Amino acid sequence: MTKKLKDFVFSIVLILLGIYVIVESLNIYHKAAEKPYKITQFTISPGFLPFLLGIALTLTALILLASSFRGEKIGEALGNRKTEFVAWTKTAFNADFLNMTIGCVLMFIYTFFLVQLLPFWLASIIFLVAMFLFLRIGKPWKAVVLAVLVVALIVLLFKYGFGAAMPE
Amino acid sequence: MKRILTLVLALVLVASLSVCAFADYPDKAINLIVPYGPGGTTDLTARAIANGMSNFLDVTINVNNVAGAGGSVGTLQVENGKNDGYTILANGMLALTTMPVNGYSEKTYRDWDIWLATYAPNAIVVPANSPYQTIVDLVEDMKARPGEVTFGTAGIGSGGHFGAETMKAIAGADYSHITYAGGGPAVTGILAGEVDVCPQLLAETKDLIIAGDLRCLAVLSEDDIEIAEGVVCPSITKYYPEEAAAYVPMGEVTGIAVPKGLDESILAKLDEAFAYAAVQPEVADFCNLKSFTLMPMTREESQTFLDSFTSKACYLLWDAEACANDPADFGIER
Amino acid sequence: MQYVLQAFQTALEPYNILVMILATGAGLLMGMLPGLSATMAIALLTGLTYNFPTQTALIALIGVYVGAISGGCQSAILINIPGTPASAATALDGHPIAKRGEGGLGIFLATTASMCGTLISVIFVLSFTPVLTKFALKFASWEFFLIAIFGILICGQLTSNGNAVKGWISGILGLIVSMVGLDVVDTFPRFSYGNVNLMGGIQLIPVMIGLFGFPEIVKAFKRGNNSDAAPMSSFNMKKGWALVKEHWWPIIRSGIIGVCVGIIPGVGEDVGGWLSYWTSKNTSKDPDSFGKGNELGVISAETGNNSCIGGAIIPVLSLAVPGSAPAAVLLAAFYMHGYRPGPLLMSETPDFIYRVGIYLALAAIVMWALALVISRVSVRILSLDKRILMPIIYVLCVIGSYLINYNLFDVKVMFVFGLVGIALSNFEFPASPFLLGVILGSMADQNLRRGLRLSKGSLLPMLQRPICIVFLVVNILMILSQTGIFKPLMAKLRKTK
Repeated sequence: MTKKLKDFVFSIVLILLGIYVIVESLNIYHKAAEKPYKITQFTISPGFLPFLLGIALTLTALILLASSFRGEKIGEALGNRKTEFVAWTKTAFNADFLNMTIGCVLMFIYTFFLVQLLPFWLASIIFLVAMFLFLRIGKPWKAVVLAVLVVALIVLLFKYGFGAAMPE
Repeated sequence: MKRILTLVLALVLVASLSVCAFADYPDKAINLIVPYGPGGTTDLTARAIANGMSNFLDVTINVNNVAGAGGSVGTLQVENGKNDGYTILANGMLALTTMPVNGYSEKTYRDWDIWLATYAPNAIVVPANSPYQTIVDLVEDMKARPGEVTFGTAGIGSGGHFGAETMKAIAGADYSHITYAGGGPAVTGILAGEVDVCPQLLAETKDLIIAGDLRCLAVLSEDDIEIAEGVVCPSITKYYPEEAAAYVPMGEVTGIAVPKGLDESILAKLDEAFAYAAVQPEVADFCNLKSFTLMPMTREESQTFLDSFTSKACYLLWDAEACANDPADFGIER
Repeated sequence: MQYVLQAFQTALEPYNILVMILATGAGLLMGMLPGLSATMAIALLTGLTYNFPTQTALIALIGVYVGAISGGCQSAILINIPGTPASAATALDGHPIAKRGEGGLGIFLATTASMCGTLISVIFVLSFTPVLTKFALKFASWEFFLIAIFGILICGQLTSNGNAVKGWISGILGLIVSMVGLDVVDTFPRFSYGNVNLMGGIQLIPVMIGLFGFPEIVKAFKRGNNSDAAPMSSFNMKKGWALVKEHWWPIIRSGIIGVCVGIIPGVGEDVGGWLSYWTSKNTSKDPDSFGKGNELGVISAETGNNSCIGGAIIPVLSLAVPGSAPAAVLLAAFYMHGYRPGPLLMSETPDFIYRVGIYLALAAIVMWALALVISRVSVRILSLDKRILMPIIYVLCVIGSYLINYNLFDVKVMFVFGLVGIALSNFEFPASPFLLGVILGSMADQNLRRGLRLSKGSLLPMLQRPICIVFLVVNILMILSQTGIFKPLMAKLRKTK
């Protein structure tokens, strides 16, 4: 992705986010004006700083958007962005992208399911073995031995060294 | 190779599970959840008691600080967690008993087994250079300028907030509530002269009163408290015996708690351990240092004590229109 | 003077020496591992040392504090994941130094600077505690608000490679994240959608681990991208010492800045590092070399964050009000061991302040020696095959996020902010201002609204307080300086000179 395209895409996301924050902060203001909070003055309402931040985010994002157009007319800029985007889609989904996605999915499974359901040591061993195999560090037995060793070390250090309770 | 490893793993798993099922309580470390950051009064009390209990039960007690949402996150973690006696809660009762009226939980203090340990009174303090010489000056000024006198506290539902609400009830006039992120910042606020009055717990301002940086107008306990040679904090009942009667003693009561439903044998173990811990000299020293009253209670005594305490705390909030739900909805009588 | 000697005597008993070495070592280790912060290290050790003799426990706690704040630099330099939030500024120049193959030199400089920072702060603790306490009380709501904004402005400008708007956007995003949860002033649940865990607010440590750790971990999944680190050349200590000597003035300056930041309650090690880094960059003859492996950057940041230790302890001792989060835990530990920090300290236990000072100084020296020994190993471990190292680091990230509050929700938060971190780094936004925004957001919010509530909604008091006006002017100048109005003006000024 070219730098201009990056700024263009991200600033639009940020503007949307900024507008959401502004709307939500006004909601907060309205809710806080009712019982039991009864804060009717806007400057001391819990919605005040979120409102300012929403405005600041939208403004700075607009500045970024404007700077991504620098030196181009708006119409031709949009055309350029479109061709850049098409060019990007052709190169983006390569082997690296695939690998990083699979890696993230493995980490996602570990974080949202294994750790939540299984004892920490078991979840971590499963995750590490899967990860090592996926990254092809060597023979399967090597991955298993390494994973068990590492997890044993971590549990020893935290549970017995520092007296911290581990997730179950 | 792979097969053997899987087998070993499976065996270890089975072994560890079976050990958990058949054993006398307690056979592993107990987690004591403190729903505030380390260093506060609840945390310090909890640690002092945990140490005694751990010596008695002969297992480690890990003190885990699960801070957030005014104590709700940690409390709910215990309330919704596995109730096996290995996860217990240490909390201030102002926060625990007002959770239902604040809308954080459906459960009241009656759904917990509670052991109360300490009582810490509120102290109404002002800076040394304040125009208020006695509590009467303050009350008169609150009446003269309703909603103008600023009270700095550790936040909604904190010990200080209840102290401020008590003063409001006594004076019959509102105040301006300025909240800080905790007891420490609130004390800094009064030292810097940013607010007029600080009604936090005596424990938090004690040393500054002795040193003469702050002046104590009154404590919300039934009797005067001598915090050092010749430094006496007068009780509010001296000045306003009738008005204050309904609210005194006001302050934070701290104890440990488990959700109801534990096996009676486990509860009996905890009874003994708590009774042992509460009479340890370290705990007494610590309470002395902080001007806490040590008043260990059994489970039954605690429930009786909390009946009136909860009613007082909940209706103070409800009458001030500072909470969302009616205490009557939870069977809390006035 | 006799107190100083007594303190030395206690500290030099063989048993206490051993405890100090172990505690400082444990602190270094926890500081190095991403996600185990100084606050947590002290909190864990407080439980462990409950039954220790008082002096031994003090030595252990102070050792672990110094170790944890200093240990963070090693992972920041070697793998670009700061071990504690305080060392985010160190990574900026430290990692480029390691990429050049001079990781050993980087660690030597950071560690030496850390030691100097702590020692400078000890001098302040011992000599100026009463004066500095008065200074701390000059800061009230408005000042805190402006400091928070100031911190984010300088951090955004420093990290954004020329386009300050991008750094500020990142800072604003961080501030918005910190709005999630029950607000401190009214306990109103903002952006919580009825979820109790969200009401508790977004924890800092999971955000930090996600933002900094995740992108580095995911990078390791790229095939054939595992040799980007240059082979570590052995470094010679002479060069290190020469560099330290050459920069003696920035070290002292950063030390003083750090102490002042540390004293102010609520502003801690993180801001100290950034502020001294910013000062060094702005007074440097070659500001463009910062962020590309300038040794002075590492030195200032590390001196700055370590001298906050002493600074943060000052109000603990004199007012019993902690200057930073780890100092708050330290205060609790002091209470538990029967000390009563606060205004009565000097009359009741006059030796205490000297003991704390001496223990701090000794811990700094022990930390220095240990860190250099550990760095020989850590340089090797952290330059292992990334495909093995990174999954392990991820396991540590998970456990670190969990341990901060013993809550598995925080682990999920870490993952989500990991994705945010990847997005930020792909779209070329700096992550540090985001982190600082999360750190300072609640401070900015509550102080702004407390100030407004005290003044009944008027902004006027901000203009009536001298410290406020200084910060206000600096903040406005900083924003203007990035808007193009300022540069021609400066150029004109230079010409007329």
